Amino acid sequence: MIDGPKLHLVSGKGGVGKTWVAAALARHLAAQGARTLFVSFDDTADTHPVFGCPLGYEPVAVAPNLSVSRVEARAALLEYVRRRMTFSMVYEAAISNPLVGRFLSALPIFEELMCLGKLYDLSTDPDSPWDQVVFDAPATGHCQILLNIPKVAAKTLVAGPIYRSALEIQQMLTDPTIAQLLIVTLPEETPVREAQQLASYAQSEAGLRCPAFLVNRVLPDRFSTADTVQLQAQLDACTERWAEPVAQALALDTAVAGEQRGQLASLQAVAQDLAMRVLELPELVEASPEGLIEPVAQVLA
Amino acid sequence: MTGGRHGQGTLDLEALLRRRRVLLCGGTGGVGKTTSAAALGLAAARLGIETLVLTIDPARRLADAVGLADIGPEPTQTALHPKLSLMMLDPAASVDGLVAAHAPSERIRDTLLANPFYQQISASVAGSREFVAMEQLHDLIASDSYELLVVDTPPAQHALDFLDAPARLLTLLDGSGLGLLLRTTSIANRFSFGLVGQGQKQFAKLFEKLTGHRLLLDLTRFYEVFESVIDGFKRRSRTMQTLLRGDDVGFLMVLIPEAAGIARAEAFSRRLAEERMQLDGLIFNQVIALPDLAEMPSPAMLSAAGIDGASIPPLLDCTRHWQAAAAAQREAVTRWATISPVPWQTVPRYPENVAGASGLDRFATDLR
Repeated sequence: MIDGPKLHLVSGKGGVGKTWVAAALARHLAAQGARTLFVSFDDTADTHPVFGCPLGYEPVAVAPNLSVSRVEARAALLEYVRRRMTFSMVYEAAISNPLVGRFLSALPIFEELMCLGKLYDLSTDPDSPWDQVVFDAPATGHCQILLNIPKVAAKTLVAGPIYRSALEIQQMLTDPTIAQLLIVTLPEETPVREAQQLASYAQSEAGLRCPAFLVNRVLPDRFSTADTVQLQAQLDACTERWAEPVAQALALDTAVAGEQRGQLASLQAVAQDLAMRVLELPELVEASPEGLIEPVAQVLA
Repeated sequence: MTGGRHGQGTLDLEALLRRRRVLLCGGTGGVGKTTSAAALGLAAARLGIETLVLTIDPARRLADAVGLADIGPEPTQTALHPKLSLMMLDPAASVDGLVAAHAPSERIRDTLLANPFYQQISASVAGSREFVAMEQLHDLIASDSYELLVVDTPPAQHALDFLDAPARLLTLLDGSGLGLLLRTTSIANRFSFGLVGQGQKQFAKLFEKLTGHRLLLDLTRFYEVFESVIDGFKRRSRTMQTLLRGDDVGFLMVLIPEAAGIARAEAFSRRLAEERMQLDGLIFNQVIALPDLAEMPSPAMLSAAGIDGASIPPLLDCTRHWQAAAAAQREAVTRWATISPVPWQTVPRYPENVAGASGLDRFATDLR
């Protein structure tokens, strides 16, 4: 069995490979023998971009110990009502009304609170069929809004069962034995800045455990500056047809790796202030969750 | 390649910069959209076109590159070119500003801004930034101070969010649908009028049971007042839709050539066509421009060239890596050319970070 938190929220700036890293994490947990549920927030795709399985509210098994589902506010509300309200049949009919549906989907705090409520049930219910839950959370800006939702709901509602649920959810998010946030980024200026903003917000405002930045697509540090200068001179002197493309690949590699090292250094400084770790994942030409499983397992070990 | 053209693609950017009055740059975050917008602006200024680039949350180095300490919410001439100005779309602008602008009276404005439901919702609502961006763009077009506006749209996971967000915001705030539902349900709840559907009555009951009475009351009051404001919102939204369909407005999409980007571009292109808007072209950014290597050299060949034995494996790894990355990108660009007639242009991935002054200069030159 895996120690530590049960609910892993994975976020990061759009385009940094958040979904791939979350998928690799889920694969890794499942391979360790934990019954793992990967939960997607994306409501635009019918097929999961990494697992290739159909995406719906009901979990779909994709590998031993691993299922994939998506949180849907209306389905979550129906489930909530069934579980916690008396005379639920009457309410189910109301929720199925199209006007009501339109109303609910337009109310952001309601929709997002229901999604968080579903995560709460999955992670805290002793009868939950899942040992580990990986939530592929929305990108940084939206994630910040999402983390703030229980607070907003508690302030707006003041009383009632949903108010109490909002408080429970908030408690879950601030309990480091249940939930943690992993922030995926690239070793580039803007993603690093956004990752840093999300980390500060999560720790200070949302009170969420935030142990690490996962830096995706890091090039290996192949050459020292002296190596590069010497190799470039040797390749320049070489008249073979392959010398020019090799020299250009070397120039690109050193420059990109150098820029990445600079960004990693500034992230490292931030991480130290926030008591977080910086974990590096390699750049893979062909993105695949299989290729990322091993590195994710290693850095999380 | 024809003379004077630096890029490899089929998009004639010079002609485009001369033809359009507004160019909207769409794309997901992290593809160099802001830099592309700035570089397009610089290229236009060099053609003698009085240009304003509207950007969002610019990277520190971009402000440095254009010679501004800060890019503020007012148009400011850059040190890079006298005909190039930059401004930042106001990030602090919120739904409050929209409400203030569209409220028919001060009393309505103040009632709305003080409503507890409104206060909570307006802080957490997605789409207000896009709506405000559209508002600012509308005012700038109307002011007619620039020959060309280049707009760096807010970063979004889906390029379409910029178009969809205002509509979503309207749905959320729309008095006709939601307000009606709320008023009928709350009245039904109190007086049980037979006119209201059974589902709605039950919904009101459920809603109240779940959330307590106060929210329903706040909501009802909110929509009673908001209906007078929504008309201004809707009118403006319609004006913007018409404006975006005009002949002098075009869209560009900035993307990195990879399979996921191509799929998003295809969706963006289809959606714009449905909206009767123009996708003028794609800008493939961060293109790895390496000469093709027909066959990898063997370790023996490298050794014969005098390369140190210890450096041979990493040098081969590095070459293999960048060649494979370049090949994958070429495949993505080829795929676009086979599925879409929309022209494209490429900008190479520079070894140094592009947001410096020299980087921006070269970017602008390559874009031509």
